[in-house]
Amino acid sequence: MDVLKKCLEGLKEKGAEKAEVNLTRGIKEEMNIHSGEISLLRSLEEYHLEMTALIDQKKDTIKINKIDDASIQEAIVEVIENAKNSELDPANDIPVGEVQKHYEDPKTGADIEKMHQRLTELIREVHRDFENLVIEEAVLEHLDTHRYYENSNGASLSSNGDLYNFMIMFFAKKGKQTSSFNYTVQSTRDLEKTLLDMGSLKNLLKESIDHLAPEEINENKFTGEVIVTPGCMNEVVPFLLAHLSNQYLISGISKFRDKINQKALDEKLTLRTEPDSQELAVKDYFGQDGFIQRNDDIFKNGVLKNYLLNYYGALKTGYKRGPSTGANLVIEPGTERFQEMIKSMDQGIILSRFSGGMPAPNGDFSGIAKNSYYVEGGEIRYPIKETMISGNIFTMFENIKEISKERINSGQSLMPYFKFDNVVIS
Amino acid sequence: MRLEDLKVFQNSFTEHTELRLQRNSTVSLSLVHGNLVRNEKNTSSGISSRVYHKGIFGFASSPKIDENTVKEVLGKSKENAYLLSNLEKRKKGALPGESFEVLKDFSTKKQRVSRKDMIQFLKTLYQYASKAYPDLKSTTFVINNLDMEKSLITSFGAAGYSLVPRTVLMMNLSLEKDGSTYDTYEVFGGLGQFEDFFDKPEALFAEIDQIYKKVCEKSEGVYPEAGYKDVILDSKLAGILAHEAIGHTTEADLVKSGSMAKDFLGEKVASDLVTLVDFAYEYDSSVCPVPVYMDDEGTRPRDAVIIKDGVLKTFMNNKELSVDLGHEPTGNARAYAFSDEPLVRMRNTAILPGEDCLKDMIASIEDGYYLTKPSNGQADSTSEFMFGVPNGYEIKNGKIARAIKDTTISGVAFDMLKTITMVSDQMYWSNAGMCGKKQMIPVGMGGPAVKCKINLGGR
Repeated sequence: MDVLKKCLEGLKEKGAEKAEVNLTRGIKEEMNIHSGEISLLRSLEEYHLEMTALIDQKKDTIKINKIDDASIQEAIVEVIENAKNSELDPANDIPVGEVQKHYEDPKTGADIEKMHQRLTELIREVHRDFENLVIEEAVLEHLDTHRYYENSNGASLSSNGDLYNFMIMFFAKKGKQTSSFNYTVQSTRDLEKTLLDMGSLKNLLKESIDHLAPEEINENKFTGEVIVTPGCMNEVVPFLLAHLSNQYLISGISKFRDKINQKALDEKLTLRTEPDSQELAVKDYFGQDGFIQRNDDIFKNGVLKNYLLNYYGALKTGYKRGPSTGANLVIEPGTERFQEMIKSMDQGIILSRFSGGMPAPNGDFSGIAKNSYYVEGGEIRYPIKETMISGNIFTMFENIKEISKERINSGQSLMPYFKFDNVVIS
Repeated sequence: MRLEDLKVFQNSFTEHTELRLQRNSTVSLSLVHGNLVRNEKNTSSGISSRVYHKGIFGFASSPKIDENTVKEVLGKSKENAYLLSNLEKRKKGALPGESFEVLKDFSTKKQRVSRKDMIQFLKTLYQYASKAYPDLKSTTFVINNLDMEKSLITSFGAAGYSLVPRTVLMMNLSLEKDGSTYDTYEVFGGLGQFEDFFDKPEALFAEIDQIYKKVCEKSEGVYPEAGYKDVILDSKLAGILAHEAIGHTTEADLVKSGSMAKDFLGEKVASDLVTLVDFAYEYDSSVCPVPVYMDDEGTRPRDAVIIKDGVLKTFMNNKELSVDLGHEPTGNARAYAFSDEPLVRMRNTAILPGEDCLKDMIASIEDGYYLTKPSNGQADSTSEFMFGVPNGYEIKNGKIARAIKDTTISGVAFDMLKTITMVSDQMYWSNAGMCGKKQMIPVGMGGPAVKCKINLGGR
């Protein structure tokens, strides 16, 4: 693309020994529901231009949102100056090889009237089928994204595709009773299905209504089992994967340091990254560092197969560059039905949403179980409130009790239900 | 393009219109274990327009700011408002507005330092920490600077320019003990640019000593006992308590949807000792961490006194919600980027100080905890809140005892605030808060130490 070539030429001319450029152009149409009413339509055209200059193994990166000549020239002067004054690091480099590849996905195009129709239908169906449910906020967007990468070694990558993203946040309200909020995020190639039929939205809405009258667990504190729902797994898995990232591996605090091809977690766990998944709506063909990403195992039967490092992280640590940096997570299904997992549970909870922070580096965590249920003797007893859970994320994934056959496709992940034990519930 | 250039377009406004020109510029440096893993600048600027028509907003934006593009953006936002309005067929009246002008520039008056100097500053901190404490497993030193520059004109005649910078230094130290890694951190800086806070790195060596002391204490600390406990929340936690426990629940968009706060207006929701205010720009004659002199709808902001002597008094709103709820506009409509629409956001939310002395507060607890630092938090429509606590101590017989490991605290705000029995005379402002609600945005949070009962996670 001309803009990228212009950037690379400018960077080389001003003194960059090596350089790489990323450009993303996004065209967005976004319709919003606030407090149950459709109230906003947004149209955006966005550019993200990122230029990296390397001089004597010193590096600087500048990001701007403009592609006119004057803005580019100004940014080039600045990034060159800052690269010269940066720190020497042999890990500052760009990929070798003149890889040239273009990815083009079939497009559906933005359909404003269809977006309005789907949101109107959602409001109507929720009102009809889920009494007392309040849609606090919903955002339906169509995003058409062009991505480009070029570097001074001759690599040239690009992709183009579109999709719809849908986010909804909701709770139930009846008189003075209010349930906890919940939310879900879904990506989809088209709007063929109703929004209510996407992912596990119907279940989540029902759970919110159940939580109009939650109860405190009778026992003050016990150590029990926890079934984590697929939606909640989307929040929990990143805690684990942080230890495969640049930050944790470079700083040396990763739990999984020097564990490639070693059994690191329970053998029931096979977790993959699928940036070019046939099942997921989101695609992530190449990284910001110019590497073509590939579908591959992260953990296979509990054995660590890959880190999620980018090129800098790989050169810095001496490990291989990851198949991705964490895109599109897919967990292989287990052998149990979700209902059977409940039936085999003595005492514990079904965790639908976790309100808590990043675990400590040693894996210790605590937080609130939201939109969750108390289970005893193999049966769901009642929705719970004000319940804290504490445990260790590594111990949990080293001792997975069960994984469900069922999985939920969010368009950017494919997650089953997990059952863990030895979690403190208070 | 400056504020004066924007005013040229005012004549073309045919109805309720906001035209905003904005530039966000960030510099991020990250030194991990002595490696400069991030050294980058990000500048994002452009124009946006929002038009209101019969209860519907149309919004459009572009990174280009030439005259033709501005006209196109104005046209597109109007087109969007009419398009959606025709589909929705809502009949809602006009919104209020006023004419006033504000110019505020908080950029540094000092000589600017180069990126090289900033990197050297971080390196000096790293060199000190690694030499003074060779047993550290890892160190992370981060500088984040955000300069937010906005010009806004509205069809009501409001015109404002502001440049509000924030610079934050985060120092994190990690230590390994018995095969487990522990870390803790401190954050410095606030309203201003790098030069306003950071002159000589040596001035921060004593702070590194303190962080090291805390991470050592934590590595030898105990797990707190899970359950409902008597605690002292240090003044560093009061701000996040104000923000998460009450602030979010009293944002008018959540109130309109049906948050718990809607049912308690005018009622007693906290101890008499609690007064909670979302300050627009000034507290006690000092500028707050995130001063807002004109919000992004062109409203003149006023302090929102949310709780006065324990009684819930009002909510934070924008123009439309002030009409919907029949309240005075508070000027809480804020947008993060030029391409973002304004949302109801907190500004500087604080519990006001009382008359107690922290030492007496600790002495008054027989068996409980003194919690000294918050991490992230979350609110809920039920007024239940949580936040992480990376540092704290046991209190035994009125005295500080062993340090504790990481924990989480939670409570139902309208229950928990009634358990407050002592409020310290200190006031601490947290200058680094970022709040997520569709968009991230800087917020100020403040308050004194409080004595209360709260749920603690642990073993």
